[in-house]
Amino acid sequence: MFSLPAISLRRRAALASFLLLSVSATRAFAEGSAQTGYNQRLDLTNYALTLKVDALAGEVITIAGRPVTNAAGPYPWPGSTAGMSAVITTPAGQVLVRPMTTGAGILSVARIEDLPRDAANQPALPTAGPNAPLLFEATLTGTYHIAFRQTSGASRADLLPYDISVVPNAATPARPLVPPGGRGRLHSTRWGFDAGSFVQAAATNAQYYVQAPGAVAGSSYIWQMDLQGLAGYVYDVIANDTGLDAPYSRSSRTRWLTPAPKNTPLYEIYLTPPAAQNPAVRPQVAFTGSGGNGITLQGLGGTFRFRSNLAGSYQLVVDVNRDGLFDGSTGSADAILAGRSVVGVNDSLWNGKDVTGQVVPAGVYSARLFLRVGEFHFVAYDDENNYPGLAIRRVDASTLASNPALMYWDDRQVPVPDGSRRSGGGTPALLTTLPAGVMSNVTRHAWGNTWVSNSFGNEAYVDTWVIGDEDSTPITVEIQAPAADLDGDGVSNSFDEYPCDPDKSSAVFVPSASSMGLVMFEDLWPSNGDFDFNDTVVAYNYELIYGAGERLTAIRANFSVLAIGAGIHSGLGLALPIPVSAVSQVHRRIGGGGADVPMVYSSEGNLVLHVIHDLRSAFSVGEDYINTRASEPVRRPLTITVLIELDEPASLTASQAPFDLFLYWTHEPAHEIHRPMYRGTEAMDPTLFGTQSDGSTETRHFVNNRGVPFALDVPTSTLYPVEKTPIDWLYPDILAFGTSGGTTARTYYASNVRPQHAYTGDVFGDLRPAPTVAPRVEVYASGCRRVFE
Amino acid sequence: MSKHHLRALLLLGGLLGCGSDPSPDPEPPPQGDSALGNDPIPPDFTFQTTRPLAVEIASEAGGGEATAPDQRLRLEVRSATLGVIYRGSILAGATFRFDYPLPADITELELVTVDDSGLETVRTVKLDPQTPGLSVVVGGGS
Repeated sequence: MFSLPAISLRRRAALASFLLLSVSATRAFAEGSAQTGYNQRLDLTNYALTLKVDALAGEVITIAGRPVTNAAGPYPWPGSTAGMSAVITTPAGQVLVRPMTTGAGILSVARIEDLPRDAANQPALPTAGPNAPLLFEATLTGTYHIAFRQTSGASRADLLPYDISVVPNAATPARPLVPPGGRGRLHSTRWGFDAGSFVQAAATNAQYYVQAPGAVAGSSYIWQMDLQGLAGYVYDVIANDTGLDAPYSRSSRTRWLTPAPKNTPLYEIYLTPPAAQNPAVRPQVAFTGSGGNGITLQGLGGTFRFRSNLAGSYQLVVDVNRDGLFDGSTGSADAILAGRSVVGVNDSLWNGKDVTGQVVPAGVYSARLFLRVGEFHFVAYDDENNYPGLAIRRVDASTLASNPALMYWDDRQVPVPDGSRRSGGGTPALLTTLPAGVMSNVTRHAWGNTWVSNSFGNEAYVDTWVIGDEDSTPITVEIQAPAADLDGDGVSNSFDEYPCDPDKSSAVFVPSASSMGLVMFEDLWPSNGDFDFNDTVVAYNYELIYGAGERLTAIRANFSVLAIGAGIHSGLGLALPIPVSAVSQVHRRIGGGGADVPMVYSSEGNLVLHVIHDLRSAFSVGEDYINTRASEPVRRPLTITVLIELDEPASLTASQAPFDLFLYWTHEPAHEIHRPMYRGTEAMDPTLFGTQSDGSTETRHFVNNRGVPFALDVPTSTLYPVEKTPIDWLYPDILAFGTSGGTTARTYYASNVRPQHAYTGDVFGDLRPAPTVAPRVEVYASGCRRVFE
Repeated sequence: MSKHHLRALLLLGGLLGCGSDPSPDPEPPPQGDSALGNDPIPPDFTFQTTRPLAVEIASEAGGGEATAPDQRLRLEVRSATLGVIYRGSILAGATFRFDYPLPADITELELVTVDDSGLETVRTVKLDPQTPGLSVVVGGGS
């Protein structure tokens, strides 16, 4: 079955655009300098730009531009018949280099309006001869990436004007002044321009359109970014959902900070509105604490847990300075957590400190949790002047009507050169619009009207943002002093690893609190498989929890299923040397879902549980393999947490970890596969021993007749083989490890590794998923409650 | 190529039933491709990669090193490679024991104690690969 949740929102938006694109008319689509202006050179000198064009199979992409030097003011590229090529990457990944020459891509006109006019009196690119564009036929429906390579010339060149059009066929001339109108085809996550100067005449008045994904597949927020007088000389245009990366998000900053501010491209930026559907679902957030009376411990922090109805971004602000504002301003010395939310349960880990790094003292604080979708930030970098300024409007994807929006900025942390922030009329511009925002039809975000280099925006990141939709909920956080003993177990909070639980005070972690080991399975036992040990790959992390009396009181097992390189449906089991009579509770959580109870049974009086009965079905990806073949998309690991609570002593020791973690066939549960030191549970079908290639003995089980096991454990989350590659190709030292009986090459998984035989990711460029230990949520800011209550 | 769009198209292909390879099991075993088992493997070898390490940590009663009013030290055992393997506290005069599956490349552990004033003491302990246990006394000053 097709599963949308497996792809990101951005990719859903791309898919949706394509579906809309597929039904659009076969008219010409032209975009370029006609939109970005004739005083803005497409900057190929300072930026490695890649433009993207959406095209249907059979359409023709036309590429045209006039190379100009990066000296002030454009003039024709010397020897314009050579020196520049278009590098086109097709949707299939094929890279093609097409020289641009006179008659095939090189323009001689300074403005599109200077082109010869066609019968409709529109400037048009001729299909042959001077000013004819480079033609490239799209053989596949998809996105074509276009970069420019310069192969000769004394100095590098930019393009002005430039035009990239999509026409139905090679005989149809492109008409760059006819905009596509709601079907923008040309986009990029980074545009770069060189205006040649800071003077007012070099400022840009361009409009850009940003596509921010909605929470539901196929929907998008389309934002119109209306620039009026942005003068940055050399500048780029980037859009994302947070502004600067943490810790400077949602604020303007000078570049001279440590760590250095970083502005990360995320959203696609168009020159005309792209095809899209309006969002139909609004965000709803619910804090899942206990009545809003949260308790955490000074200096310890905790985990905030909330439930979201959609994937968006969240922000949680603890009003540490008690100013009554939850504006998220990093200048406010509040405690701020921010990140991306998933549908369902979300945990946000807090270190107990405010934005300045100071431990928040004991006391009762108000907090507010925000959930947002469609948030869009434009961070202008090193743009000295911007007057009369920037306005952002929301575009209705159906009607293309633009409507004013609440705009936010917070420029308080940027040094203000004397006088340069003032607007043209002498009225001081707003330093911040937080928390209420200002309507973009009333006030623009403006700075610096001096048209010189040392204005307000010089070497500064200036953030302006809007929010598509938002929901929020209040929280109360109580922070207790560390000397208290919150759970009354005789161990004071500062010495108690679990200060909210009287049955827990310390823990042994395997492999460690922050790392995971791997168990890798072959699932065809007693038949030989291909010994790539990726039929199921499970990362594990165990936490053996002790009470104040140093008695084992609980075991938490974190599993992260990384790979399924097989078609067989299997379940994951765990047998522990713990008497069933000693167990008081067993709880399980799969992914972000709620807690439930897995199937539990007794084997020779000890505890066995089915961690999950059908791994493959839990991924919901049909018959695809999971993270073993590069041709299939990387999938997020399936995380499972199991908590086993004990009310009687048990002799379990951490040195037995990862314990008897085994595989069984979902439709034949008696078909178990364990590591060789285990002989199976009472539920197993013993008649499988001795059949086919099995070489099990009284002392060693689940090996073939050459002594090769069907499950391997390594104490680190290292590489595993790509599909159908024997493990000894990846880890050649495992041969010596096996023949020596473990006396040599005991760390075969870390020596002489041949990573070319490992699964590293997909052909789309996504890397293999890295397992992470599930966050512990014993300490709730929402109340001193245990995770599975 | 645009990986985002290609992925979208591949997924769309999956939706239309024209893009996925079901690859039914059982896979044909490529006999002989793996050299594992070509040379004899000792009959009782289980491919275990770790060895059990018995850790015993004793805290001196009273002693010169400051302890909290409730006579506890915060205690952490960690590996520079792996991270924290034990975190909790130890009562003055008490002994805490735990067993741990030690990877072969871990040759030393760090014991970190913190008293109620926040003073942190780090002690590095070398591990003898021939010795199954580790016994350490804390709380007596370092």
